[in-house]
Amino acid sequence: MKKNNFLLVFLLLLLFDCTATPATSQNSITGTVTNENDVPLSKATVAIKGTKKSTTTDDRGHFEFAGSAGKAILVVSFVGYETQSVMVQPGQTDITIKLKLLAEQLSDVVVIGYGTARKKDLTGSISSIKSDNMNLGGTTSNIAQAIQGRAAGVRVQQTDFSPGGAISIIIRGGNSINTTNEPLYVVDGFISDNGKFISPNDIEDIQVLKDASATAIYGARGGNGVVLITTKKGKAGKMQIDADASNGLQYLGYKPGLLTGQQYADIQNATALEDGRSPVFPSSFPITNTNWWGATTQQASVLNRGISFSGNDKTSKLYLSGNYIKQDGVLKNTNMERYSIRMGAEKRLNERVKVGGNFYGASTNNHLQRYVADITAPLFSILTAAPCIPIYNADGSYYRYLGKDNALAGVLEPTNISTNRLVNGNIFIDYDIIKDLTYHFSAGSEFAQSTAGQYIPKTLTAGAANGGIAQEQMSTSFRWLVENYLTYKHNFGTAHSITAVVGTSNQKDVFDNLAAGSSGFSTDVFLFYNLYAGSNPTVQGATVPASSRVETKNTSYFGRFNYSYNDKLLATFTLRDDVSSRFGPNNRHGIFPSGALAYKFTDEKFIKNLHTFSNLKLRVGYGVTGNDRIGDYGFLSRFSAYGTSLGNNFYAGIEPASLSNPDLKWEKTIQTDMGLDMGFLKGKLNVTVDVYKKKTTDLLLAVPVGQWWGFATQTVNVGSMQNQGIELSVNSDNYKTGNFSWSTFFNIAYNKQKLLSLADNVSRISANTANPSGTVSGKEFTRLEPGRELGILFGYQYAGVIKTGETYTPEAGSKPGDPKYVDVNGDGKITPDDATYLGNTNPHYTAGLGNDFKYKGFDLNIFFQGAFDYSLYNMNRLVLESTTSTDALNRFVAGKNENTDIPREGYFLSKYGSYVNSRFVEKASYVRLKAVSLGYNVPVNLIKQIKFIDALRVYVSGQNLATFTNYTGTDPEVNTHGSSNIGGGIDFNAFPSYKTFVFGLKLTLH
Amino acid sequence: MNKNKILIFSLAVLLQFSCNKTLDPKVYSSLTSTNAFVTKSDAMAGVNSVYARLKGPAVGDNFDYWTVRHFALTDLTTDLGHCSYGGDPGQLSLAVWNSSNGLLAEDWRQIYKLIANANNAILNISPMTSITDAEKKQFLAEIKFLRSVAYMDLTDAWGPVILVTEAEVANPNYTSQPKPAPVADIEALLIKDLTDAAGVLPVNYVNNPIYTSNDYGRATKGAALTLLSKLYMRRHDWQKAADVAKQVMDMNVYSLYPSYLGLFTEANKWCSENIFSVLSDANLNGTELLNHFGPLNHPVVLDRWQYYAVTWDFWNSYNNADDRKKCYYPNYTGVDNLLYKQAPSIGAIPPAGVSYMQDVATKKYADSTGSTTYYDGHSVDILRYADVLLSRAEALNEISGPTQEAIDLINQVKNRSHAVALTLAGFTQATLRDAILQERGWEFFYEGKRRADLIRMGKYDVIVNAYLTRIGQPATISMPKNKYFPYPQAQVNLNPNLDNSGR
Repeated sequence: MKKNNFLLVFLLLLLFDCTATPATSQNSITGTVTNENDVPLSKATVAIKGTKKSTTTDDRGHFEFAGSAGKAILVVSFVGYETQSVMVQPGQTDITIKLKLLAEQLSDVVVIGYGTARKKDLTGSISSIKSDNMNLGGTTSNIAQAIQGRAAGVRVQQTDFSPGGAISIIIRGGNSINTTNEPLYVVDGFISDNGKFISPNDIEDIQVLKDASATAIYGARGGNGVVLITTKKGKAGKMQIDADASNGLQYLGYKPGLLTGQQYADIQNATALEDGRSPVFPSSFPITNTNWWGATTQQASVLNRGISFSGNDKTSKLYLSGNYIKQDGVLKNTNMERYSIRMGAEKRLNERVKVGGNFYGASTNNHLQRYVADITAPLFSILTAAPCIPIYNADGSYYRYLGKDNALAGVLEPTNISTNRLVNGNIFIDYDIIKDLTYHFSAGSEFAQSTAGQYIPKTLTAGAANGGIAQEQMSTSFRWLVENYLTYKHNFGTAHSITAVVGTSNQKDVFDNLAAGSSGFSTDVFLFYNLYAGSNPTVQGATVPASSRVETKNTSYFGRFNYSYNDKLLATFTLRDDVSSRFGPNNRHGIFPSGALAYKFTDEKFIKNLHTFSNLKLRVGYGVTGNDRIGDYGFLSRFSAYGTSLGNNFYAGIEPASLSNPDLKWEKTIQTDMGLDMGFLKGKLNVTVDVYKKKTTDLLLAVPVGQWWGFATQTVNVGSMQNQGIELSVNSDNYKTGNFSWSTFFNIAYNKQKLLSLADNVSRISANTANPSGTVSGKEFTRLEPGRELGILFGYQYAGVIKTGETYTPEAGSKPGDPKYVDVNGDGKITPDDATYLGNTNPHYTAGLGNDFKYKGFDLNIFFQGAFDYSLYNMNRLVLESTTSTDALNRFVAGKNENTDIPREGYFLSKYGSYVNSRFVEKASYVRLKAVSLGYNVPVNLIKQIKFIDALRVYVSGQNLATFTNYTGTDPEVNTHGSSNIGGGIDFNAFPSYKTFVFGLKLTLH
Repeated sequence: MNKNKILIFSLAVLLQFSCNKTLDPKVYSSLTSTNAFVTKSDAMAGVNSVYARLKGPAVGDNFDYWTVRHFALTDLTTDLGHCSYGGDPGQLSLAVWNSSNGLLAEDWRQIYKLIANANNAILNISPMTSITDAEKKQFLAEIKFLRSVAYMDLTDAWGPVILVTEAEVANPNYTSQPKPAPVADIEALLIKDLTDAAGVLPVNYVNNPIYTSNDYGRATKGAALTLLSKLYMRRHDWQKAADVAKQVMDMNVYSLYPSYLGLFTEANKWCSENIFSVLSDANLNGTELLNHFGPLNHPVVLDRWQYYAVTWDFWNSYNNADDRKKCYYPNYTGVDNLLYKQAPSIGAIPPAGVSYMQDVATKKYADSTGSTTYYDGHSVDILRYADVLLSRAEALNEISGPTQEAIDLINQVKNRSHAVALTLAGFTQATLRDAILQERGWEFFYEGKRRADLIRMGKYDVIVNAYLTRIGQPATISMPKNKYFPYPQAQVNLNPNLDNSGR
């Protein structure tokens, strides 16, 4: 019955429509409204100025004012376009009016947690990055690289430049001391632990939620910010195939100045003589001249292949893609290779029901070296390898000096492969229950498997002693996540509108680990692929069979309420209750509220009268979020295995695993944000400023307890940290004519971090370096104390070397040529109390600057990125100085070379001070020419003979082409302690940095 | 209709929490307090973990406590141990340590780790009802013996220390700052525990009703008595020390192994001379003894570090006839074709082709017939029969001066190594004391005895300072300051009652 009525009305409307068109007469004003590409715009509003006459365009963009001939001014407006006024002369008909897109599409709809919002209605601080503005191609293989420098307050640091190496994202300064400071990644609504590592070529856009008003809907997981990734879903219009292929080369950026073989031997012998040892390289030793750096590094290739299919019709969207990247490393025997596929689909089944799904699968293969900050790293062997020894013996085998493997063998011979496989998928259903009320259901799962295998062959000494050593570790994680929520949107009259969301989320994660090893192989052929072939099922110094499983469960309830008054005043309130198996029984529920207000001043008279702002919005937000990545089972009293040999047997034993804490809970962050969004020059210039203050409490700390309890620490929620800062981002369309356009974007952020408190009995937390020389243990390197920030270098003030005849009383008994340290506390001797603040290692400022130019078919993008106001500890320089670098030529030699700051024999022999001293703290601020690309779109008329080709683009690009810095080490961005929040920036055995040049072709077909 | 739909979907949203039935975590890979101590096998696992902490820090990688690092405190700090590497061991070797020395902290940590495991096992085994009384007594006696070993070592190094027993662990207050207990209080506990243990523990584990696998290496009556004797020695309670040592001898189960070098081969894990030892298996839970003790650049014992070595000064003190002098690597042609040897004089410059070693590596944990792998399976003898003989000799001398019995006891040990025997004539109590101290050095170097011996005999400052002077170093040892080490600085920071003034 009802349906029939609808049908009838619909038919009548059609009829009316059909009959109306032929009624056009010469007395009418008629015309068509199109966009800049001549595509008709329907439902555009056309009004005659000074009258009440107004109409909207039809499906073909057509409009008509019957009987309105005569001079008139038409005002044409359409959402997302600049309003245009057109003078119409009497008798003029069939006017074509082209509307221009608003420079900034304030009407854009962006994804927020559990829903979408018009960008102009946002009350929180969100940075949006579209795929056009990402650092794609070349060696970019993950999301973090893609957005580095592109969003204010989002600090991306590639701490390891190896193919597939570590890269961190920290939003508005780290909150946590002992857990990760990485944000939460949500891909198409699915919370993924692997979101950072999906292929960036499939991304449509990324929203970085920065303040608590935006992230509190994610409760105990929102504390570090949230990165919402939306993948491509198919472009409007016809089916299209894009194929993109590029090849590139990487060139070493860092080249240490190294000694020749003879110079090295001379220095070693001279030092030995001074020490009363016999010559290290006696005259009988055949001195060669080997450049180990050159022998172990290379010019390396990178290639990308991508193909995508997209299609879209009235009821469905489809996107399919396949991507391949292979990057060889500039260090030999390293590479990264990834295959990935993605599917995204949506289908509207009927007026009420829309379904969709996403699927991603990828396999990544890495050949690795160990880029660790200690002497076991291949880079350490390379940098310290004696240049006076040869690589090979006459018979082609590796030369071994003192029976030790040489540096090239150490790089080429071991096998170290990690393979990561990732599959995730999710589906959703949107059901419009009644007008304004929608039910959303989504379910997804993710399976990730990481397999790492190592083999040390018999060509190496350790392999020879053990008959080859093989081991393999596999970890898998499986997640399911089911979420559903109701969304109610309603307008009460014209002034009031609300949106309310309530929902639940359930998640379960299972992590499994398995490891095994063996040694004693008859052959090197198997690598780690046949452990049973080894005669000894356990491995010296490595893996014995091991397995473990960890399970995490979460149940959450959330809600959000948005209110808008007259489209001027906007308010958002959110609330989330997270229940997690990680939280102790005394704190099982975490409640996370937030609230924000925004006011648009744009239409206020006093603002309008200024004729300055095309947009002006003030936002204020406050909220509580958490960090639930506190590990599992921490609150339980547990026992772990610890056995021993008795008689001829090995017996299992059990001992307490840790000191339990039933109060264990999330880390809590309270954030206040105030932001101002400003548009100028009709939206051509947009500026956003945000200031924020975050206070994190209940920090997860391993609080020292007396070791008489059997443990050094107990894990407790205690301590607090503060981050405050300011962010500025500017987008400007500087110039735009038919042929030429130029736009600029710029962002800069400042963050000041301050530790407010630790525990009662903890006044500081120190982190040590790893062993830098093989003869000493790690020394205090960073120190975290209230009032300071994470990653503060702590060590001695270096004061040069002690000269012949000089008596330096604070270092009694020291000899000429020994390092001299400042007696900071003036107590007359050098003790650990003289260690002092040497610098911060986390940049206080980060910035990005991009300029995009278009001229006819050419486009040129130039992007700079930088980080400022921080230092790095150049441990490589310390190591090199006393071994193979040309700096060693300038070492102290009594009576011969005394006017120098380089000690006679390094820093390890003196009983005073430490090798952690101010001499190797270097300012690391840098500006990097991160990406340059020049593309040419071949004119359509040149290729139109080939019917199925729509477009052909040829491009060249470069990455990391130039780095402007005073830093002298491998790269100012590296940090071999990158995985530790308190570790502090150190450049020690880091993968060498490189420049990349790429040439590519992109073909669009239909 | 719509109302119903709204209801249905609202319920779908709100009732969904049932997916996770409970948010109590499921534990797969470790035990919890509900299932850790249930059966006899669990109790045995609790006991085993106490033995396991005689070494560490990991099951498969042992360089802590009795497998290497304890020797940094007991031997490096004396006239016989030497480390040519700088840093923490170098400080100890030159007697210039302070409270932030990492090796002091490591030993403190590892010894207390054993004590914590012991306390935990006592606490959890005591209330168990699934084991017999005999089993419970046996397990608790083993644990208390092991805890006594730990407290003995702890008090040797630091004197008054924090006394933690199962009582404190039952109701822990992790932020408390207890005062260290007087040494006498700790010794009273040890005397009680060891006396009790000696009454419970079997002579050996052959056909033992509780442990059915005939294992050696578990705590025995002889071990408890020997440790008790050593404790009485430390207390200068000479008569009791001599009596208890005699008790061990009268058990007639121990004898000296015929060959000194043979005693320490990796293959000889346990013999008639072993009273209590830390055992290892090169593959399953190997130690890093060989790495640390093995000679540098040696052509047979490849790739070792000569980290814990012996001073030339001490090596030179052996008589050439003494087999124990052969338990070293004083000269060899290295893998680099250099001749490694002792310098003719301190500071001499070696000619081409020669390297003068700063110290001499010992074969004690690095015999050339053992493992070639990274880890090794050497036993470390914490208590062995030669110590019982020399202890009784020393106690007798302290009680009544030189006697033939004492001389015979010493000569038993000497004769095994073909060393020149002593004769009673000409010895005073003081000179025999010196001879015993010298003998103990030659016999027990790097067995964790030297520092305690020197202190017990009141010769720590005299002998170590004399050695330091001979090698041109400042004579830094003073008593009573150096009787005990400073408490590790990190522990002092946590508990100011650990007072380092005067240490």
